[in-house]
Formats: sequence, structure tokens, C-alpha cells
Amino acid sequence: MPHGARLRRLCLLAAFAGFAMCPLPSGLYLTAQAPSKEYIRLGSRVIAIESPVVTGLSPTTQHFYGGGGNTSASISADSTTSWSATVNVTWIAFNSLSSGTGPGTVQYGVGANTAGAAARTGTITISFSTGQTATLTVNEDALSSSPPTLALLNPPPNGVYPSSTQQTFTFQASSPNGLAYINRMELEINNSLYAGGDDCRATYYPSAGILYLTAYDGFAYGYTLGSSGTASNDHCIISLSSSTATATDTSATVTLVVTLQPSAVGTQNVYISSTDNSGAQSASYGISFGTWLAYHELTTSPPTVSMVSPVTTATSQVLYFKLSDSNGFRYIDGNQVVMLAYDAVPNNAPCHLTIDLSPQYWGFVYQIMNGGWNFLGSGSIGSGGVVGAGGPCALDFTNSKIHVNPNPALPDPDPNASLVTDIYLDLSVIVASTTPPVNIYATLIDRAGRGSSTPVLVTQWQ
Amino acid sequence: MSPLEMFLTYYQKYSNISRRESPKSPMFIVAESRLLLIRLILLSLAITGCWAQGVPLSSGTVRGTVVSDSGAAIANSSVFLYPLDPLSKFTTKTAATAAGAFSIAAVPAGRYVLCARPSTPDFVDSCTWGITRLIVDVPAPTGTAPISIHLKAASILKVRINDAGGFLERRPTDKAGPHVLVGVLSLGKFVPALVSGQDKTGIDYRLQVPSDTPLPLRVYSSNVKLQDPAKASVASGGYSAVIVSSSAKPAIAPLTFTAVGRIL
Repeated sequence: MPHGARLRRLCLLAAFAGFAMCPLPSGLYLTAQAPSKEYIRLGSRVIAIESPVVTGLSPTTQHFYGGGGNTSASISADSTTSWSATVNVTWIAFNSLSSGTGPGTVQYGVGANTAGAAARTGTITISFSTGQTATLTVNEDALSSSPPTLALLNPPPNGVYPSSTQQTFTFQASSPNGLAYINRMELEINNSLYAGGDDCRATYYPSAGILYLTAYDGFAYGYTLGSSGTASNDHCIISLSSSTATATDTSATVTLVVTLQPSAVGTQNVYISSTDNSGAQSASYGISFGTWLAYHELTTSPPTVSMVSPVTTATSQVLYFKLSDSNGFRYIDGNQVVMLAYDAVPNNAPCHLTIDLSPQYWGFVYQIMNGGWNFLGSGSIGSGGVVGAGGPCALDFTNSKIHVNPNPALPDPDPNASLVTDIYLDLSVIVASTTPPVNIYATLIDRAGRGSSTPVLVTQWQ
Repeated sequence: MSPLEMFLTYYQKYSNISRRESPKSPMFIVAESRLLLIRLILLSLAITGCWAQGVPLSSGTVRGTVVSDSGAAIANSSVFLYPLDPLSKFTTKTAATAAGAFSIAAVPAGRYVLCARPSTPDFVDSCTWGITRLIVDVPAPTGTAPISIHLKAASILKVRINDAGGFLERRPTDKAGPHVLVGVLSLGKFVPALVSGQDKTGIDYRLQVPSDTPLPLRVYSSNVKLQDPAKASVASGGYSAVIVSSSAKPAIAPLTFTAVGRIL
């Protein structure tokens, strides 16, 4: 039964019972009434009773913290009564259609208050075709300049967590500007904050209720907490059914059940942070809240790079690199590069290709010239095209390949199923000349920071 | 304190105690000598263990200047050092001067990522943005030469999601979302754009990015069907493309996507 009709029946009963006023649900605003008639039979007589057309708006006041937010208001009206909504300020905007007929909902958003400005008030007015109006007063606090705060509730911060592969993390973000102003909360489990490559980086958006986990390809994929299944990448697995999120007006609390994958070798640091809608980060950013060691290093030796087959004198050929780490190839810090240079100083070379091995940039290639980071082109290895054609050196993406299986024609093995120590990089390169010789450099460190951070000469092309 | 200094300090301390306890019997002196030997062995093992555990036995100073790509000093940035050694807890922040100079003393030996966040929106921070990280070793093998932290000029990336159909409105039956993730990859991390405006016609996103730097853009939703700027359907894995802004033309042409339905 429509809300208005139900109220009219209530009023009718109240009239028979001799009450002078009709009780109304809390928060419903009863506007001026245009009369209509209903008829009831008493014995052989029919009595006409005038009953009001009830139109209304609920709630009639709404409070927002300084960060604003989105909400909705319910409109009560007969199925034949049309209405339209207007607002008297620019910082309130309708997120849905602002007009309709009969009962409805108007969704609206309140922008964050201007920094340094006082609290403010706006009014949403609903005008009905009956001539009636209803108003909703929107109050918004001043915007606090304080960034969000973040607390690790479980396990205790600054600890050394058990060596089991599973751990439950509960962390809470709060903002004086309200829940809507908390843009995201992040849990990052990695050897160190700036260790390049795959890591366990879970980001929760409280306003949407969606958890994103960065996958091996660098992209984040969305999941709903409480649903069945898991979210996983090569570093960790998050149980969705065991993980939860709750919220108050000013805070969000997330519990994530995390299992480390065998690729997560070595001591892991646990970082948590929160960012608000202005981009301000919590003071917790960059601070390790604890360490977690589930899979010990097998060796402290840094990774190595070598050529699988000798470089010939041809100016166009495929260079076959093998990169190895006895802790598994995932333990090679991915944000490292292999470079070709005419110059004895590798960072000041007229021809300079860098190949980032980070999974996020798997095969992403930059060509950097004249000692500066002058970007000429890029692409993904295995995709089409040649970058740098006609220049001092060029990279043919089509005939280049990154593979884990020594035989590139066969599928790559799962690094979490067994220890895989090598990764192969086949670069199809064209150089204008090999006089003077082209120096082939590499920098390789592992995820614990071991190895040479400055380029080392692998071989010469001449 | 070097291992040798630690040894000498310990030996001197022990010798002083021995002198205060004289005279002693020959047997006591032999026993005492054995005890000294055992303690020295234990100390030696402790020192070796310290090296093996990566505990720094020396420190250094990291100093330099925050500059633009053209070499001009950038004033009043915040400079950060983050350790690459998972066992190191030394993370620090210092303020650069108006001339862009900074100095961080007593940094434990180790390998760090050095980066800076500018106080002006004209530049982007190098902790988030870049092609490679700036890695420094402490103490530096070549001495304490000043290090330049280069900050890129900022460009603005704008992305709009048109939503004439109301697919981005949250419905009472929605368990989560709707939500669209817009951002770019940098230094191995996804950097999300922030919502700069929202109304019933769509959502605007904005992100400050470095100029002259190729960045993989991603637009993805797990619950909203999207069309890319060419009106092609965005695959379930999301839209990706490499964007590059130019310092000569800082504003990147806005990219407009369209919400065309829900993913159930």
C-alpha cells in the first residue's frame, strides 16, 4: 500500500475514533493539504469524509561533517502527484533525477566545505503539483585540516608477528570530516615499502565498500568483502568470506585475513595508511607496523645476470639475457633495468634502452637518449611495433619476449608451486653501428636491497 | 663505533677491572685469562653476528639539493629516506631549505630510497612518481658527494565518466559500489585519481602526474560496464593506455568514458 494511502486510512480511523489529529511517522513533514473525499457506508447511509492529500519529505534536516557526502531523502506523494526538487546553493547537487511523480527518492551529494570556511546551511525544496512544498535543511560543518588517522587494532603494532603463513589484520581509519571524506585505506605487505615488484597491496574504499588487490599485472581488481572465494596475487591470498568491514559516521574498520604465498620470501613489513578526498595521507604512511617472516630466504646472494648465448657482430639481433635469483625470480627487485649504451658511462649514453622487470611494467620499455630522460616511445614486449627505428638503436617489440620457462614456446611455471629461479629476457635490438662497441649494462638487486645498485657491464656488442 | 673500537673499549674496561682486583693467585690469573679469552670469543661472535644480521656498525650523512629537471632549486620540499633492508626501521623525513638544500646526518649504514615531496603544486613528488627510484648507499662508496633529487613538473590528468543512465548511483540492493577505479601506474604502484566533481550526469576525476613521463592509465570497474573514449566496450580487465604529457603543454586532453550498464 502506498505510504500516502496508508496514512489516509489511519486518519480515517482516527476521525471515527474521535481524535482531532492524525499521528504521523517520525520525520515526516506534513505539508498544506488539498482536500479529497473518501466514502464509507454506515448501515444504509453513505458518508463522505474529506481526507487530505498527504505529501511530504523525510528527513527534514540532515547533518554532514565537513567532508560532505551522499545520501537520499524520501518523497511521499499520491501516485498522480508530480514533484520537482530544487536547491538554493551550489555545493549541493542532485545525483538522481530531481523530478518525478508519486512516491520517490531524491539522491543528492554535498561537496566538501571550503578549507577555512565556516559551517554552512542549504535548503532542498520539493514543489508538488498540488501547490504544496516541503523543505529539507542541510547543515554542513567546517572542514577540518587534519588528515585521517589510522590505527592497527590487531595484531599489536610494532611487533614481530608469528611465522605462520596466515595472519588477521584489523585496522581503523578515522576522519574528523566524516566517513565520506575517507577516500581509501591501504594495507601493504612487502619486504620494504619501495621494494619493486609484486606485493600484497589491498586497498579498501569505504564509500563504495569495495576491496581492491593489486594483481601480478599491476592492475587492481575489485572484490566484495563477505562474499565467497578469495582475492589473490603472487604475494598473498585474502579470504573474502572471513574478511569484514564496518563503519561509523567518522570511521571505517577493516579486518582482512591474509595468507602469504611462497613467493613472499624474506622478512615482510606491514604498512597501513589512509588517504582522504583531498589527497592528504595519514601520518602512518611509510612506517612499518610490524614484521612477518613466513618464508625464509634460501640464500643471501644477490641476483645475477648473464647472456644465454654470445652476442654476435650483427647490428640487428636478439640479445638473450638470463636473470637469476636462488630465492626465486620473484625475489629480484623488479624496478631494475637492463641497458644498452654506446657510452662508457651508462647513464650518459646516446642510445639507452631500459626494461623494467617489475611485474607492473613487465616488459615495459623506455628509450632514453642523450643522458636525459627524454622519452621517445614505449611498448610492451610481445606487442607490435618498433621504437627508435632509424635512430642509434631501436627495439623491436614483436620479436622480443619475456619468459620464465627456458623454452619460450612452453607455458611458464607457477612460481608458487615450485621454486623457479630464472627469468629470460629476449630483446630484439637494432643498432646503427657497433663502432664504438655497444656496452650492455644491468643493475640488479634483490627485494632485500642486495646487489649492485649501479650498472655493471654484462658484455660488449662489437 | 668500528669493530676495532668496540674491541679496544671492551678490553680496556676489562683490564681496568683486573687491575683493581690485584693481587691475585697464579691460578686465579690463569682462570681470569681463560675467562677473558672466552669473553673475547663471544664478543667476536657478536660482532660477526651483527654483520651477518645487517646491523649497521657505521653511519653516514646524506645531503644534496632538490632541483627541477632544468637544475633550478626547488624550495622547502620534504625529503624522505626509506630503507630497502627489510630489517631496518630507520625511516626519516627532513625539510629542505629555501635553496633546496638538505642534509640527513647519522643515517645507519645501508641502502635507501631517497625522495622528496615538494611544497608547491608545480612539481610532483618523487616518492610516488618516476621511472626509477633514487637509491643511495650509506656510507656512500664514493664519499659524501651531494645528491640531486630531481622533481618533474606537474601536469593534470582529467578523466570523466558520463552517466546519463544513472549506473553510478548506489541502489538499495547494491552490496558494494558502484565504483570506478581511475589511476595510473608509477614505480610499481597504482596511484588512484581523486574525484573532483560529481553530479547526476557523471563523475570527474583528477590526478596530478609528472610531465614528460609515460604512464600506464587504467580505468576499471568491477560492477559498472564502461565504454572508452572511442565508444568501444571496456573489457572486464579494464581499459589501459599509455599517456604522456608534455611540459610544453601541461594539460592532458581530458578522457571521457561512459557508463552504459551494470555488471551483475
